Amino acid sequence: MIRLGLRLTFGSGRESALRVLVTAVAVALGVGLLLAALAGVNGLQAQTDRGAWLDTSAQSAPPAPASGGLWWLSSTDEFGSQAIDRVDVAAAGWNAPVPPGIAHLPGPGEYDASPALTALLRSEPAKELRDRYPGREIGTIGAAGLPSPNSLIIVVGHTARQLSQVPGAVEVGAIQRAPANCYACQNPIGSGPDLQWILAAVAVFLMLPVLILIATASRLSAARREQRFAAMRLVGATPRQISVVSAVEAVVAAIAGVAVGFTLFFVFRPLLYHVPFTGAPFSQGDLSLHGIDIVLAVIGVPIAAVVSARIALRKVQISPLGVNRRALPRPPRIVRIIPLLGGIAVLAYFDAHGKPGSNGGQLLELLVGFVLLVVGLVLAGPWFTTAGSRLLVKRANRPATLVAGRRLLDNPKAAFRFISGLVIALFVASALIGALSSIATFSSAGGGSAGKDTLADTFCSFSTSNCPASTQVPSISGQVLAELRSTPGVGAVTVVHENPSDGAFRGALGNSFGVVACDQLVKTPAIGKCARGTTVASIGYFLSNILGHRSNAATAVWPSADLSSESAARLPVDAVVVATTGSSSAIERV
Amino acid sequence: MALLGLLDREPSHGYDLKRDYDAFFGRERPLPYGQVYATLARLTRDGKAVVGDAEPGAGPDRKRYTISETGKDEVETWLAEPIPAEPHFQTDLFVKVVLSLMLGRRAEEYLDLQRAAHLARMRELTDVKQKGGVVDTLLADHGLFHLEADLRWIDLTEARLVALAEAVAA
Amino acid sequence: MSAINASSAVVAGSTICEARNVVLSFGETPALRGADLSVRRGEVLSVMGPSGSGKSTLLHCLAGILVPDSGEVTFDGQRLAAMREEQRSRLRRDRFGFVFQFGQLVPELTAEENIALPLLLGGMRRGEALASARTWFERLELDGLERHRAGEMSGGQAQRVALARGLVAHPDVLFADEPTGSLDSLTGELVMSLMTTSARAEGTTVVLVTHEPRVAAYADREVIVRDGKVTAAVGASR
Repeated sequence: MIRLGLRLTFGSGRESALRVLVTAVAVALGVGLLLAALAGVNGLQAQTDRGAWLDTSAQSAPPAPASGGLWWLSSTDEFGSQAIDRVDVAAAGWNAPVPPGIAHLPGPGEYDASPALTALLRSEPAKELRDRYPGREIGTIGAAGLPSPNSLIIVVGHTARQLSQVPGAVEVGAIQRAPANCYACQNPIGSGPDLQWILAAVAVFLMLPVLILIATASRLSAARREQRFAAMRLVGATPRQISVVSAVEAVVAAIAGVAVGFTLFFVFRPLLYHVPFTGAPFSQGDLSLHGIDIVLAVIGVPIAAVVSARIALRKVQISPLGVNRRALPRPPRIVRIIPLLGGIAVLAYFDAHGKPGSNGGQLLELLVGFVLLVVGLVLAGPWFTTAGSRLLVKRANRPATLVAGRRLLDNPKAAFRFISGLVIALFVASALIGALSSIATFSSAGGGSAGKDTLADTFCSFSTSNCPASTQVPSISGQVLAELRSTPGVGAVTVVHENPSDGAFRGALGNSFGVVACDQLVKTPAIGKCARGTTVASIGYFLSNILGHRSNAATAVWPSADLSSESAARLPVDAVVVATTGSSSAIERV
Repeated sequence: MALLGLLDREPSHGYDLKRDYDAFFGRERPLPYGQVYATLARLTRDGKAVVGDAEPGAGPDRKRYTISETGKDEVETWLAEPIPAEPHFQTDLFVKVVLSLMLGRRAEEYLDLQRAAHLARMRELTDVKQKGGVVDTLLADHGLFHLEADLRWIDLTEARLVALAEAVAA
Repeated sequence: MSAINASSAVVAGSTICEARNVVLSFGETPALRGADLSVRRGEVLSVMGPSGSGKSTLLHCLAGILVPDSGEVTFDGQRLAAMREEQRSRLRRDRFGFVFQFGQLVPELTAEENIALPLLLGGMRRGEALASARTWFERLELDGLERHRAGEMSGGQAQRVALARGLVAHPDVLFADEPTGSLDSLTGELVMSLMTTSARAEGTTVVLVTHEPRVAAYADREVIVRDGKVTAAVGASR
């Protein structure tokens, strides 16, 4: 039987060769995409792993041993639109752990910088960049410590005594090796595991149009194949034998497609290195495939192809009499559009009522919604075709239109099948584009231009109840404030003070972030406005988002906090907000 | 005319002519000797054939006949002229059908019986075709086509019996 | 595969296929309304009737291609309705042969592969099956066409290939449905002549559906199908 199948596949002339070719191309595309997605996931993982060490202090790191650990203070800085990760370190003992990528810890007055940062330091004016870092460069951070070749990282050395005084510094016993899943993580790649799930889901969704293309290809010259199979059935081929023969063709195409797909992947992989999935390009070797990935592609895709072809040919196998007599299929019923409506409903509901809290919940909601949408599109397609063609028939002015409408009405499922692959592909592509652009918006400097011109430095990024006492900054010296105000390009400086007691001042928007004097707030409108007639306002939880440039609060109106400006000024400082003219030099100097 | 045509092929004796005629044209009805000689005599009298000298031996069958020019012309003309295609307006079968309708009998049954008889005869002719040579096949096919034509008429008539009955009753 | 019936006279006369009170409708349209038919072993039977009378449907029921709504169809004593599709397929492969109006050859295969198809489907080795097929080329005046694709042949050649395919497995019954329908007279005669000669030589029963009397004349007896019922006509066997 298999031999017969091979004979029919290869010896059948141009039409059959075309069909095999189209199927193979579809499989190749599918395999290529799948491998790219898998490699992307692996690459992300590699990047995340390499960046794990930056999160050392954010975790409950192992405590310092008696012999002394490493003092650690991490922070983020910006230059233009790029983020710079800064780690201040100081050895507290002989055996202090060393971050990956550098040979030994920088001492006071020394620093190691990533190659990209080193280049920047040399090329940019000193006042804007170089002056931020005390000391001189003694080395470059090697690849093992760089999530991405163009990461901007600097490790600045201090004495243990110096660093231990700085609020926020922590003594750790070991460097974080595994990527952390934490809110305030430094790791620039972002919430690693979630993004990987999203990529995996995207890979699956990308496979759908490929599978549909394979099914459509299997239907090519279906009439001819129906004739061939009918003839075989007449002389006594069992339905199983027919399945084997048609499966052979699908398998041959699938095997060819897998081979070509792998070739495509390896040929185009160098180009993939330039695609910034998350804004950070991959290092060489990141986009690799694990053994299981290869097995999945080599085995999974052909199986999917064969199943897809089988399903496409399901109706063909039965009659030895071919297509002589056929009753018209029943028109699709309206219940078909339920899954599509369900998908829209799920997504709309959550959009209106707010997303579920956890990342996992959001992902579940998105997944369920999308699956319902995709399945719903495929199911509802014939119904829409019927509705549309009814309209076409009613309003047909020319015979050609009338005939076309009637043909569609006779068999809407078949008609929709031809374009369903395209429909799904378009849907997935537009969803992907939407998702990618919103990720881009999310991670780039968002908010209005006023937001971009306004800088902030927060000393405690958690809500007030979580700030450890040691990180509180009692006040900012007048000298610092004066220096700030006198920097060319600086408009005004606002000091945000910490909320005096736990939860006493809850604004309408939830937990209070801090309090601020209104006469200062008026000069930095980017973080909001005071309610009319107040002197001291309570700024909401949003501020961390604002200060992180993740949302725009220029229109937020903060309610009054029941404090006098003097008592507010005495509270410990939470953040300093500076409004500038927007010139990059000003920004960088600040 | 067949004998004259045979004569055209080559001069022959009487019994050669009979033998040849039987072989080609007289499958089911061999020609009697008397008829052969009577025809030959008539042809000679009409000038279409010429009788040759008697050969040694007894009997009239020893005479050799040869075709004359007139005879040749006649054969030529006859060959070139198509047979009149005459549809028959009166056949036994037709009469049977009309009569049975007039008499109120069931014409269908007669038609069925006739059909069966026709098919039986066609079977016989087909047998001949299988077993005989090309000439037999040609002859048999001729009969078969005619029988088929009759059968077609029978089918059509069967379909029109109701209308025919009304017409006849009027 | 059945053994060759060397002397059909031994078992001639016994019923090999039978249809009893078969009723079958296609959706709303009735095709057979209680058809009865007995086919004697070794005979050549023609099933005649106007178009739409149900004669092809009756043949399909006898061959196990269609299953009637009610009534019984038996072959060699076995009830066809009691068999699963797999069994009926195997029956068609080993015990029946088919020559239909349009040949129903597999266009992508060569003539010899088409003829060998029932044998290949039955698991015979390719070499053996093709050798068996090749013996038919001379018998049916098809010399030289062995490697030609089925799609490259004339109608008459294709029908003879179909005939060879129908007989290659030495079947018990050869089912022919308007086998000369798409052929000119001379070619049709050739096909019918070869069909009946070969079948009689092998002792194969032939069920021949046709509306043409000259084709039906090749049979031993005829039955007429009208409006889904069989009216047996008087027919003397040869």
